[in-house]
Formats: sequence, structure tokens, C-alpha cells
Amino acid sequence: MALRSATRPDSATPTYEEYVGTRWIALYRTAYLLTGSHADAEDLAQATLVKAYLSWSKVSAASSPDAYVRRILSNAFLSSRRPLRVARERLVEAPPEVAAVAPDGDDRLVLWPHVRELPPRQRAVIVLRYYEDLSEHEIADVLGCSPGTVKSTASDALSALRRQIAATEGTS
Amino acid sequence: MNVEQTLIDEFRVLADGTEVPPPPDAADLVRTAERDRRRSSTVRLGGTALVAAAVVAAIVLGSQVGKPDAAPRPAHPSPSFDAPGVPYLYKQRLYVDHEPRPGSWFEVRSAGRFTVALGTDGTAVILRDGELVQRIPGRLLVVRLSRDGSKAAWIEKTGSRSGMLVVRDVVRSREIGRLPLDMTPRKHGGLEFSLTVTDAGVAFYDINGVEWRWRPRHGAPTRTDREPNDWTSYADPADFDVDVHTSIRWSPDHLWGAWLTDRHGQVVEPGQHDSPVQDGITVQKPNDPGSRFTIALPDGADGSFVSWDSPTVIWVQVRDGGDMFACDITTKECHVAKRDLSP
Repeated sequence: MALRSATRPDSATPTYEEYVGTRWIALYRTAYLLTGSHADAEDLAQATLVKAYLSWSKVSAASSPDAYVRRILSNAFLSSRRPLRVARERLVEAPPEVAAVAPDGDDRLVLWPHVRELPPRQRAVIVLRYYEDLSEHEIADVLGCSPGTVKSTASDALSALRRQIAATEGTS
Repeated sequence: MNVEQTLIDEFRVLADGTEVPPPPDAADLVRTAERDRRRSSTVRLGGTALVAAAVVAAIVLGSQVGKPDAAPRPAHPSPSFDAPGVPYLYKQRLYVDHEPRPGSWFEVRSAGRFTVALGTDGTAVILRDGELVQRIPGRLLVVRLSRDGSKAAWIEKTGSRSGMLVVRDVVRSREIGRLPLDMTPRKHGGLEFSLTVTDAGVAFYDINGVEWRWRPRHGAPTRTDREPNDWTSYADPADFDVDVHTSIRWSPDHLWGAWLTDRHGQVVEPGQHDSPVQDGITVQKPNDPGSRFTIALPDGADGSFVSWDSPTVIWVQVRDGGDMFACDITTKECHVAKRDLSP
């Protein structure tokens, strides 16, 4: 369940509390695909909901609250000037999470390791396009850029992924 | 391979198989958001400084490639970079005057004339001018010096779920206090903690995202107003003769403190829902009232949060996710650094 919903009638306007409860899973999943880390996904999803509350009058009045929140999520992800979890010295007793634990079938995920290595903006475009199933125009609206920029960014990302796959196959 | 179809398939597998934690308590989010109205936690402290330090370290370490036995230059981003006697760490070895000392070391920090070094075995030492003055036995998790090096603090693991915070006056070589800590690991994940100590001997410690302030001999620790994951470094109000400890942020080099003030130059207590407009940043060196000055924010910029981006530049977040300003303490001017953050 991606973070998308049809335009809803006013009578279905959720309260903030309802929205948190019903959309958390979708929000978290998108955040996880963006960050590639459970810890960062939780931080990003929560930060997004906090920002959504601050703009709740706009979110709840929007024709698609999910689209509004998706913009917040994407902006929060891209505006992170550093990885969320290394924002300040933080010490841990045990080794930190070194890689996301993929669900069953991990060995069949041939692209995911390379997606996680993409630059943030390319990763965002790829996730919005192939997970959220947004059009180039919708992605441009989310990221605040032109459709042409989305198109070229996606092209660069796909080219990079193809190169990685070719390199992997060439060494195996 | 059809890359596009594979992406769709893999994202679906990942999303459907991702173990999603329970949703956060909406009331907690609301409380955090309300505080964000006054002081947003979106600005993170010291990124530039950390990057710069990392670059310096990378350059220095990189210069040693091919010379594994050479005593490296100190990768110490302080003004005492090349000062004789300032110890430093290289490949888990402790160097003093470029000479390696015995043992395997995890971390070395210096301030003033003092150095603390944490060994890989969990013990630590305190050095003065490079000479040993104290060994600290036990299983230490972290050891820190105050800005001028006069105080040290460390956290020692005393059990599977317990620890001990110790604050020591290293100049007078006497313990100031110790405090038992609950160090129960998180249900999902390990134990996370951090520690700082001020020149006045006040310890700020964080365990699993909750920060506490403890002044030895003055009773129990108290929660700070800091939000989880907001890693701003706080200064001791006693160093600045102001009355609100959670408002003052150290510059990355700990030479300046900065806080938001209202139009009358008064500190505004964070947490007040009806806090007055905060339209200036006051900057001062610790214990130096004569160095204090205030930088006016641009008209209409009602600041909610400050964070240092470098030793001379302060970022100011304004309320409701509006423009972010960068204020330079050398020019005493602010300009828009980032346009409205809201979508």
C-alpha cells in the first residue's frame, strides 16, 4: 500500500489523530524505501507527521492529503543535510545497524542494493515513480522541479542501475 | 533484465515484507510539533564543522598511506593542531609528541592542558600536558572533557542494565559526584547515549534519546527541554549570566554561546506557548559579558530556533517553517539561507 489515495470528499476529512493511525504504515514503507534504513525511516516518517501537524489546516483542506504529506516527506528526505542518524555524535553499545534487514527473498532483490547507493534525488524519483506510481508531472510537483528534470533524473538513475547490474553480471 | 519492471516488483516485495513498527502516539507528535513552532528541530548542529573535521582527518590519514610506521601529524581540528604534547589517535595508537604510547585506544580528546583517552579494553586515562595523571579502571562507555578541560565526566557500565555517571575535577584531582543510571536497552535495538560536561561541572547526558541535566551535589537530574534526536549542544547558563539553560547553544568550537531574545533583549523561556516575538540573536563568549552583542533578525522573522552551522555562522529557523536565515557573527548580518521549508 503506497502513500496514495484518491481525492476524497470533505465528509471524509480525517482528524490528525486518525490520519496518523491509518496512514502510518504507508508512510513508513515509503520512508523506508527512500532511506534504506529502518532507523532513518522511523525518524523520517515521524518528522513528516510532525510537519504535517504544523500545516494540518492545509493538509486537511487539500484535495489529496496524501499528496500533500508526500511532498512533506520528500522534502524532508531531500533537505536532510546529513544522514538523519549521524546528525550528532551518538554512541552505541552494540554495533549500529549496518544494513537494512530485507524480508524473505533478499537474495532475489538484485536492484535494491544499487537503489540504496543512488544519490538522494535520483532515489526519490525512482521510488516515487516505481513504488508510488506517480507520473513525471506528479513527481515534478512533489519535488518542486520541472517534468524535464524528473525525466532526466530518472534516466540517469536507470542508466546507473543498468551499469551496476552489468558490472555485477560481468564479475559473477 | 527489464529494470523498470524489476524495480516495481522489488519495491513491492520490500514494502509488503517490511516490518513496520507501531505508529507513534499522536499526542506525542502534537507535543513535539507545538514545541517546533517555537524552536524547530530541523536544523542540525555543526554539519559543516563535522564535515570539515572529517576532511581534515581524511587528508591527514590519507597522507600516511604507504607509511604505516610513520608517526602521523595530529588529526586534531583544534587551534592546538601542532602544539607539542597534544596527544592524538592514529590506528588505535595513542601518540604524544608524535611518539606512540603502549596500549590500544579507541578515542582521544583534548581540551586545555588535559587529555582523556578511552582504551579498547574500556579503561581510560587522564593526561596533563601529555603526562599520565590518572587511570580510570572499569568498563567505560564514554569519557568527556569540558570545554576548558577542567572537568571530566564518564559513564561506566556497572551491570547489564545499569551504569554510573562520574564527574571529576581534573585540575584539583577530586571527584565531584557520581550518579547511578538506568541503562536499560531499547526493546528493539541497542543502547544509545551521549555525554557532555560543562566547565562548571554540569553533566548533560542522553540515554536512548532522552537528555538529562545533572549538577552534582544539587539533587537529582532533571529532564532538559531537548527533543529526541535534536543533537544541539547546550551551554551552561552560569557561563553566560542568563537564566534559561535550554536556550543557549554552543558554537562548534565552544567559543561562543547563542540564544534567541525578544525585542527587549530578554531570553524567552522555551516551552511557553505565548512566548513573545523573538527577533534577535544574542551572542556571547562564556564568562565575558563584554563580548555580548545582539544581531537583529530581518523584519518579520520571528525566530524559533537557533543552530550553529560553523564557528561563525548561525542558522535561525523561524516559526511555522518559514524562511531560514544565516546570521554571521563577524558581519553581524543575516540573510535568507533557505526559502520556506513548508511544501
